[in-house]
Amino acid sequence: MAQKQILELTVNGDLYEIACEPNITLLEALREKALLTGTKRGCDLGACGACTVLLDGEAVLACLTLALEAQDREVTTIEGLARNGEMTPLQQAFVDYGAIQCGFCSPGFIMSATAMLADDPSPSQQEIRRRLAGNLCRCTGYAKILKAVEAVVEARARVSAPAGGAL
Amino acid sequence: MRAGTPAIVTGEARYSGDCRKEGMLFARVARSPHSRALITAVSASEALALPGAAAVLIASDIPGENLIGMTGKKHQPVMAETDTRFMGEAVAVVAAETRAVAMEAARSVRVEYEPLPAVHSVEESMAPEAPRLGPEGNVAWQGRVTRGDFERAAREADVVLTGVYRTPPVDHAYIETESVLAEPEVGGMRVWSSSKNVHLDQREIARVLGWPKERIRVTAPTIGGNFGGKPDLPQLCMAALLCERTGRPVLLEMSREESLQVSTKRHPVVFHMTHCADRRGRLLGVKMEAYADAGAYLDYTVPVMQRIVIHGAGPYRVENVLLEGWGYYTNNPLSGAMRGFGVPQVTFACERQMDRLADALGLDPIDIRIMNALQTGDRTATGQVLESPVGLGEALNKARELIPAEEWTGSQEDTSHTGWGVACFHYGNGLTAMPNRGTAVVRLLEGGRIQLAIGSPDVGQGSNLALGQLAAEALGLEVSHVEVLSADTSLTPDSGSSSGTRVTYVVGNAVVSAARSFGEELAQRAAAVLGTDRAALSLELSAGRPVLRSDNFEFGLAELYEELGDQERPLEVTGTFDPPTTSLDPATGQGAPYGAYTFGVQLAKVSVDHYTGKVGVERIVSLLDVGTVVNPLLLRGQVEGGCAMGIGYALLEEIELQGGRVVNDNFDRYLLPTAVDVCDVTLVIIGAADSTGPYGAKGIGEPATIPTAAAIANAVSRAAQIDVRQLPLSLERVSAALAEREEGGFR
Repeated sequence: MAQKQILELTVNGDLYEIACEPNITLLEALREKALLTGTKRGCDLGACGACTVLLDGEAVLACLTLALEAQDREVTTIEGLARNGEMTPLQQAFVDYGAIQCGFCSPGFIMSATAMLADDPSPSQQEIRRRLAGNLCRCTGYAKILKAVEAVVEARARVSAPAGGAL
Repeated sequence: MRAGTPAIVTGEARYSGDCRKEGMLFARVARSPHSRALITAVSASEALALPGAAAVLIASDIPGENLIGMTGKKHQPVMAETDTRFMGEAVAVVAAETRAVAMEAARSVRVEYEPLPAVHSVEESMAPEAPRLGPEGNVAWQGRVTRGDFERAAREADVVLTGVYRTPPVDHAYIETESVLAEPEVGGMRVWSSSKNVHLDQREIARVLGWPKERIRVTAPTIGGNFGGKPDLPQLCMAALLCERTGRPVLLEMSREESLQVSTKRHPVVFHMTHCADRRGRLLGVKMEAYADAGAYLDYTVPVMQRIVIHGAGPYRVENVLLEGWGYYTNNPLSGAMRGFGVPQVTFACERQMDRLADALGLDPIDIRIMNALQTGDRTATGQVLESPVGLGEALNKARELIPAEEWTGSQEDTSHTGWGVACFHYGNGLTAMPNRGTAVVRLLEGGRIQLAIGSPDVGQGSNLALGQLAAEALGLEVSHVEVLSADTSLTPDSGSSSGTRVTYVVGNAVVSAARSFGEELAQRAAAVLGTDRAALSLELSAGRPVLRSDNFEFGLAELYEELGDQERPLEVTGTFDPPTTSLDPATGQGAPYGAYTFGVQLAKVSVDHYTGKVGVERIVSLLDVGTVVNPLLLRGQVEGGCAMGIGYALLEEIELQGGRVVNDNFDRYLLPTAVDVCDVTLVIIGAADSTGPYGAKGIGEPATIPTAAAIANAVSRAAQIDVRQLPLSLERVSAALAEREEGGFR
């Protein structure tokens, strides 16, 4: 077994000093060391998307990322989205549109969609489907998840459209 | 929407694998690498000697009974003692300070095996030279439903159509794998289980530990999907055994590979069907022989095969039926309960037969179904008279209106074919032909809060919300006034399992009964406290707060609670409901197995790529008779999710077994539908209130997925002009059929 070392991780703006073997994954570091269990383990193989987190704003699969790779970078998990108890529009839309059944895949979906919208604020319906195809859901059949994401896209488009809609 | 959603989207919701306790040990199972073998020696000393190993248990360490089961059969051991019967069966379980040590310790348990010849299919199990697997041979279950005289119907029929159909084993594939936490409590143990039935968990753990069940408290935390598959009883009991042995909290999780290898599967079934009709298309007789792989031990094969024979003629009026089923032991993973309990399988076989019959007679596939559809007052195959309104005919008529004839035909072009398919189904709500009482408790708590307590867990479908709505309706209040508590053996009554599409219908009726009695009890108590007439008081909302009101004053529930004596707190009322069912005649299968049936029709439009064989599902229309709709959003959620699961069953999913080993044991090889594989689902609600359901409601959980694969199979057959007999419709299977058609091999 490899020697333990101290790893410094910045997760949701908080600094965690983690004593661990150098080969642990970001998923293990988050769930077992930082005790942030909102990030889920579904397959440990990069095939289900349940462990999706943001690394410097980009969606990564925590089960395929070494915790070491996340040093000196910003990790954002589902616990870090809401600010002062206020949920993001995506989180709120997942609740409002009934995009949740068992909810086990929801954190991964919300993180994937968050990264997608940061990247492209107005994806097409097809683009949303494609970008979320790496996240598996067994309960909802995806319809309400897609609807929730589309609703956020539409709401943003309304806000950012020039007054009078002169385009 | 379901109760508790904000906690889910913020990551605060706790699933059983998220719990962390002081001094918690991690457990791991040592599993058999053989499908069938004698265990000649087990040595734990090497594993126990590892630094950080806390305990190693084998079968002989079990203080109580080493036999468990989800149904009345208690046939499967927690851990194999003398012989193993499927690959991955538990032989020992270890607990250690870390996951890594637990894994190493599990690998270090030395087990000597003497491999035996194994059986991996129904056909092998039937063979005269097959090794004997069960206590009474290789037939695990057999049964039949028979009415009228099928042989005579066959002689008198204008058309007799036979067909053999095969369905694959598939996995529930909940995204949360099985996970159990057991921790010591004063005088006993607390267990967190993502289960569909915490009270059954409690009884099974108690028998295995040899404890009175009162010492064990089982609670379901947030559950990450179920679909009939959780708990894994051996895992549940092993966690409890380790907790008892070590006196410390123990977390036992499954990896995805373990889950796909050892958890129960949807029964693979081979159907031999014979349909007899007159030349107008009227069904005269249906005969079915269904052969299912039960797996290594007998448990859910009993109710699944019962469902298959009961639903074997489809939702049609047939005077002469001979519907027979057999479950065979094999050395494959156990077949279990999965959304639909055998009915998705039998619906595929029946509905392909109906389409082929229509083709043979030159009839329209919807016409032939309308002609034969069960109607109010008809008798089912088991002779049960359908007294409640049946919306099937109306659904079929509506289906015809929705899809214009020219679109129905589809198009056949060089590279791509399109077409529609239809499938009908019915599904009995509740457990089959046995008492299955639902129980609900409504309590008045401090501060005037109203609590609804039910044992059946919310497995993600939103039952806590739906049941809270039913209670609120019965009390004349808003759903926000009812706190719902479920799935805790210390705080909630045994309401039975969240399975068999029984929660809305069976438990819901108990909830309405409890809530009505509770409202009455409140009024009587208030009348006594106030010295007034009961008739003058009613439970109403005043400024958004429930009060007991008379003409000239209001009495709050918090005040009423304060007036109750210590002995009377909490004020608590129990309601029960047992559906009006009978047992089935053992010789003929005749009787009334269910109190209500959900009916439906599904249409699917597909495209088939001529060269690759790839099937795309472009649209689904689901027409459902679910009686009164309790919650439209939850209903839609069930239907959309059920359709996606049906698309997976139709096109993608098959547990590939090689010598009992699951080859595709993770989601890179066991493919589930993703967001790009699903399509728009149009939902049409048909029919009238059921005469026995709560406010006329019937269930939807399992019906949501039942007809989808059958409708897709019919659509593919029609679009590509091939004759689908087997699921899934993989690229290989469809392109092979297309090639065969080109060569003139079309059957």
